[in-house]
Amino acid sequence: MSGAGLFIRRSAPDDAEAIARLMATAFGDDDRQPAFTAEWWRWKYAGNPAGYHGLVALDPEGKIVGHYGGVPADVRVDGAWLTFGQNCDSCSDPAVRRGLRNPGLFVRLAQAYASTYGIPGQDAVMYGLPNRNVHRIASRYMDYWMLRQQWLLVANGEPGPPTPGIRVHEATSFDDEVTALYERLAPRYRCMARRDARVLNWRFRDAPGAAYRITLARDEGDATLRAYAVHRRARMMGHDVGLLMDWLCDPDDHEAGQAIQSVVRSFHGTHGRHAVAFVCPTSSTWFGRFQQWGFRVLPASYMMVARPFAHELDPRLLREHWFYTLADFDIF
Amino acid sequence: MGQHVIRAASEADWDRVADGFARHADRDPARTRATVAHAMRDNPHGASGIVALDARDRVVGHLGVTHLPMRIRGDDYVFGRFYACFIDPAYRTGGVHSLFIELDEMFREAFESRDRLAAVFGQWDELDWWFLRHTRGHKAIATSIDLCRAAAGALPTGEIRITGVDDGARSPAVLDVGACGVRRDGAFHAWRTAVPGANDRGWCAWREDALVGVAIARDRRDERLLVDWAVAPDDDAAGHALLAAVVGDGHVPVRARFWTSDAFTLALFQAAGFSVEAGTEAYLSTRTVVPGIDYLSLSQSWHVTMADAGVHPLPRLTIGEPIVYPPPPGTADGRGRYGH
Repeated sequence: MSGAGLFIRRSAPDDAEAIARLMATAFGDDDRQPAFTAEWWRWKYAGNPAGYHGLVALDPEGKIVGHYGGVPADVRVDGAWLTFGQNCDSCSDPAVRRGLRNPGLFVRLAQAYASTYGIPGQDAVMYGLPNRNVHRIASRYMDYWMLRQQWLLVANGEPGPPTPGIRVHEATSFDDEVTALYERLAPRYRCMARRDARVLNWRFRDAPGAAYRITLARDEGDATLRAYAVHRRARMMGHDVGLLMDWLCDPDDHEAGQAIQSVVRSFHGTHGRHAVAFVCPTSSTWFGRFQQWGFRVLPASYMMVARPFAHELDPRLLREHWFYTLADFDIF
Repeated sequence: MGQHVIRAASEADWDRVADGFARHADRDPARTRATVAHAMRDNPHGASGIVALDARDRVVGHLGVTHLPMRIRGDDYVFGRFYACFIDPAYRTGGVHSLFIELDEMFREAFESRDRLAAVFGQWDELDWWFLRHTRGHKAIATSIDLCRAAAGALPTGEIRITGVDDGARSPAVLDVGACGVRRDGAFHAWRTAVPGANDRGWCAWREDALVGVAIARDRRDERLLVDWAVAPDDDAAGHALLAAVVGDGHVPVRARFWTSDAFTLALFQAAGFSVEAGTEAYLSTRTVVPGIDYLSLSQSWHVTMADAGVHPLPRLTIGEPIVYPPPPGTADGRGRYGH
């Protein structure tokens, strides 16, 4: 029970319609997101292979007037599995928001969320990619700290020529070969969320109104899968761009990496898109490699923020070794 | 922790502060005296510090800043960059770094106000930063990036007049910094270029009599370090000409480290063959006192160089115990900490 006659409890599948309605009221249409419907909630929350987190606030009549969600992910850190939770979809009914003194419903929900899920056995890290205004609130009330300024890698020009020895093709879903690729490459990344077929199919293929394209790179000789990429069209910086959402490739496999990024760029170029953009940590091998492939670094309005709750997670380890892409966030 | 007194540092203290810092940071004492004198005593905009003295009148702790003239949305302010700070190891025990807190409390009371220091900032040791964030109100402005260019030959020079630092020192011209930046005039630029023992070289870019760019570079080992860099807003020609001067014949790699969100500067450097690297991803943190000037506004508009923030983070001031996360927001233990 919170102040002002509001009741806060964990969200449940029966809340899907009401949460979706509240989200639609609060945010309206958003080009980047699927429409806020019960189907959307069931996919994003109930369908997540890593489970879901969420709190709702109810008014005295039992109407849902606030929501604070979390999308957990299984992250392997130096061989140990931990849960990292992306906090998202926080919203409150404007009528209730106006009636509360500081801190408002948003903050009350956020703090209830942290005390519910930021405890041993739950989220080892809560994180997000807010713009600076949201960061101000998150920093003040949620104890988020800046992991780093986030940069964009953006390519405008023509990609290089096709890479010999690599065959690149489209797929409609992820299968066991992708899982095998992930399991083979996971030890190369000290800190990375699970990227097997089950997770990837949920994140991309099954998303309502899925706008994602899956591209695979194989060895031309024995057809071994060497890399995958997921990409889509998006509006960014006032332009129609191609967005490289996710990427998994052996950091030493220059040919597969070169081939798949080149094909993704060509695809968006032929569809008249202004540029192709990618997000990854500055500390990642890929940050330098993409620059070698002609991508340029631009400032982004986002800050990568996090709040560890597990004592073994030194902030420096997260900065230096946590590999993430836009697949780990819900903004596109 | 032994007996000690705390008071504002005076000009007579800088040598003793330098000696304490040299001991603490394992630096050459004579050179440290020279660099501390340069940064604190000779700074044309001054310096501020608090010292702790033991019963034998020995400086056992110092928390001080070298002043930085700033212009923000047309108004002038002074910021302070933490410099030559140290606490004798014997005085780092006794709870949560108690002498550090004592020094910081007195520093805040004595110096941090609209008319004196509108903000203090610095690059801290990682554990110190964690401590300052949770207990002393410091907020991260940015993490650093490195811009690196291999030895890849000279750059085209262009039409902008480039001079050495001496010409600039005689001019009253002040570089236009746009919405937010360090107020660089000729005298300040000349002082910054004269770091003892560093062999720095400075350049000024001129459009007729207007100062449109300054740069300072330091040659060390196998690379040239771009210590300072500022160009008038969106002056592409000045930027290219200045960068050509810094790169010179292009026979040595060049490295710059910025805390910035400045798209213009990033584009300029990348067009000249620089790539962006993580480097140390060092935090730059600040504590501000003026409404409207906060870590987020600085994060968006302040292009910070190593001359502003220091080439290295400060050596650790705390006893270096592991990070202890405070209780989560919303819990009973966390109450009072996050805006309840």
